[in-house]
Amino acid sequence: MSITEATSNSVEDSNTHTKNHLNLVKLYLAIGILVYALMMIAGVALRAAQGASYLDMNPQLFYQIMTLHGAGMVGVTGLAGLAVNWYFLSRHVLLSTKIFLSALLLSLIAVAMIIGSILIGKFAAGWTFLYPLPAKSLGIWSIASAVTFAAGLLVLGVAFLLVYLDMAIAISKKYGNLTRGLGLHMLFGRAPVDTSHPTTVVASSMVIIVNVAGIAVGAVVLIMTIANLISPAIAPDALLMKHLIYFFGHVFINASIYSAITAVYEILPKYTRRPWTVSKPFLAAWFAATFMVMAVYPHHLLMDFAMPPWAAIAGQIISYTSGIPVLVVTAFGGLTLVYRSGIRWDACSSLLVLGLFGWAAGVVPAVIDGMIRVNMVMHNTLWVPGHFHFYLILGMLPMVLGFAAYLTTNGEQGKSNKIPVYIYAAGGITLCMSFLVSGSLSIPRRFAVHQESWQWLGNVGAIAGTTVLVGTLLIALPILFRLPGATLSAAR
Amino acid sequence: MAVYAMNIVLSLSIALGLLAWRTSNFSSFTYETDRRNAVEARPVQLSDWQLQSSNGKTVYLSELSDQLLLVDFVYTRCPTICRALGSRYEQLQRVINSSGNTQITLLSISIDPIYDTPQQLNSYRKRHNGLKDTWQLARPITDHAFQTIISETGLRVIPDKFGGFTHSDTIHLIENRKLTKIKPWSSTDWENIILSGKNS
Amino acid sequence: MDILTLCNMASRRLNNWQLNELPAPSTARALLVFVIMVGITPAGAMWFESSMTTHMLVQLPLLIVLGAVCYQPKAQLNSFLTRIDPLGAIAFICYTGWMLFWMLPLNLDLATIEPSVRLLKLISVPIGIGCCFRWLWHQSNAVLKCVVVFETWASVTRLGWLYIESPLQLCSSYLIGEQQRVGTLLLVISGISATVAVFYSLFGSFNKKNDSTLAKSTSNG
Repeated sequence: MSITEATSNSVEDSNTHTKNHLNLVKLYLAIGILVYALMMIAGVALRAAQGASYLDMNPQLFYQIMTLHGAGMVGVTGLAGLAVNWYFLSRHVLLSTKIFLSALLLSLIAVAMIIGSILIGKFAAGWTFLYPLPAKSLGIWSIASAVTFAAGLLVLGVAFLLVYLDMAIAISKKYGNLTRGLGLHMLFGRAPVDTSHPTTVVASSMVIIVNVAGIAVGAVVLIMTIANLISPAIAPDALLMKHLIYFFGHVFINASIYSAITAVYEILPKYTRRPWTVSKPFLAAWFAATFMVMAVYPHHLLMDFAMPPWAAIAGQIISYTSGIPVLVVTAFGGLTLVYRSGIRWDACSSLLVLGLFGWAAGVVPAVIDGMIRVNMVMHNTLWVPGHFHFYLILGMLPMVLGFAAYLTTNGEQGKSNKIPVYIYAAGGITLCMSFLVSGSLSIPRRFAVHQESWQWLGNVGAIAGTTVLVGTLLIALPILFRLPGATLSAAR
Repeated sequence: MAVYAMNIVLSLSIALGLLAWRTSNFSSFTYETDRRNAVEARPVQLSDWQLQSSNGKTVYLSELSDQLLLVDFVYTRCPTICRALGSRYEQLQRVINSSGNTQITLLSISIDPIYDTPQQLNSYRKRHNGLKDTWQLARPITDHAFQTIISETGLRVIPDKFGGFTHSDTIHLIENRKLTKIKPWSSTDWENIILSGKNS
Repeated sequence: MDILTLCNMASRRLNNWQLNELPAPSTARALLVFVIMVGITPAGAMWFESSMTTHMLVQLPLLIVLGAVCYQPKAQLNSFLTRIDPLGAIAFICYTGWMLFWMLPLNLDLATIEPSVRLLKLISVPIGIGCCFRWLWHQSNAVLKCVVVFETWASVTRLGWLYIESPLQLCSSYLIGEQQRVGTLLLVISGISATVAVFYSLFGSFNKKNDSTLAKSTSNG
């Protein structure tokens, strides 16, 4: 084969390769947006059921829908975050489309198992499958459905693991190892700070490290849950199980947000025409976040009297500080990037900045929940749903939608309508406030039936949730229609 | 590629099939449950066990086995499970007496035949307020007899670190010299069997 | 010398460690035959199976490792295997299946009681687990390798935890105290291997372009 032939072949290969990359990301996004919309309908139904004016729902169904909403939202958030991260990472390293596709297929199998266990098997123990609740159904759901749910989560974990391993290997091949991907050699002065080192690689390295650890713990704790379901005599320590479940769950959902940040790092500089490069504070922040994301989950256990006080205090301190490093670097970096840059405000840029705002402001309810005294009375109220809806509706999802908008306008600025973003943001803020106000009024979470004096907040939530849904559809429908025409290459 | 996919599916189903077969459709993962399931599926014909009863006489399984026999395995020095088994037999004996069912005999066989002389066996029964007519105690006198019982019932007896033994806490149902059921001592099936007079 | 350098050195050593540093297949084969023969003889079987620790943590790993090391198929067999299992998926199923099989307390018990099951163990463990692992390692890409290692690690952890937690005596041939000791040992193994894996993946040098010795050995292998 002559040299020219070889080159033209490889160019063709890389073209189809690139096309496959993009098509897969489109597939992820399309499925993701559809699932988001469906799960939002479920969420609106939950709030409406609590409001009791627009909807009357059997409590048993309520808990099934709550489990579905939780598992569905966590799953789709993971997938969407992964898609964003994968798209940008494949600009810097060589990732396998086959693995990305198999992960999607595996996820769909997992989703079928999870939905089946909830809708057919009536499993309703919440997506956190908090031990030993799955085994104590009082006859409402069968052991088999609880096992199917846990096995579904296990399959989902394997799907993510495949992609993370592929990413880890690709980063290691190009940069040497994961800590070099994270830029530790530059942080600790063994090499000068290389401003061409991609921010996405730093973020991806961190996400891989924490999430593989999370999935490893999940793989163990899910099998222990299944063992307990099959043989109730095997009853692991409940506090240890809770630690592991929340390590897995909290790391997973946190990592999804940190994955989506790559959209901000990669797209916002194009709008402001200023570079966003790595620096020592940036690297230090991501290095610190690697540990903190893994250590922050104990705020779920501050109410457990069996926890030793020192552990609770450590949990509070880490809850306080965990959000800060990357947040400060990113929010501050984002602001300095946008300030007087002459940025064009369209759907994409405003969604990304909204995402930054949600991520930054979401720290406030989080830190309040992380205080032991407050946590003791507030953790079982709607304050906590308020806290994570803040992060997810105003932080994570806008970043994903902003990325989708960027993709479908093929990077052209000022082409997308930003009115739906206002609708979305207004609905999102109202919804989160309806939760937070409920929480501060000590309205318990996970209650199917609400007292009459609480019901107006449920109604506000339902209306606000509908607004979010409308906003999402207004943003997403044009995206879905234009998605097939997107051509912006994913691979290098 | 299609052939390969088919081969993968084939080998997966073979592997799952073998595991399912080995575990009786994923129901028995331990030796103890396997032993129970196996007996339930296929009763075991027993040979004529030679035993020494607590009155010192030699008895054979065939002499006892014209009725339903509930058999447990104990050793009289046992500080733990054999006491529970003894109390359980005391309970079952009360059920037998109140039901008037004379077709049922309880039998405790010692797994420590060297220490458990007829005197020891008698005092074990006395400790549990047992009556001679419906509760027999016996020990295998020869090593061969002991090994036969072990191999036919699949019982596992392993010495613990305190000079005692760890062994199964199950009760065995023997009808016409056939082992037909193995269940935990705590199972309420035993009451049902006594009251109905037959293996349900 | 700081901690980063130390980690780097340790993982570089690990990374440079090649399969050809393993003992020769012929030595391994002789050792395997020896271990199998010892496993068959009553005295040897008694020694290996007298305690759960020697049974599970000495005999089985020995059989697996020796089976994997001595695996060296002839060209004919190799081409046959390449044809029927190019990606190592069937080997993966075989490996997982036999691992599961021998993780069941039932089979461990039966191996101590029934000579036929003991023989099955002595044959299926080196071939079904050891050789299959080697084949799978040879054929599959890096991601699948990692998944296999990950799942094996997770299973060791799960098993260890189950052995410690279970109030039931899972193996009728072994005392519950022994079961808990094996559980603890399994967790220790899991902890050590997790630490090694974390250090290896975080600090190991995978940048093959800059490492001429590695590049050479990969092209050979």
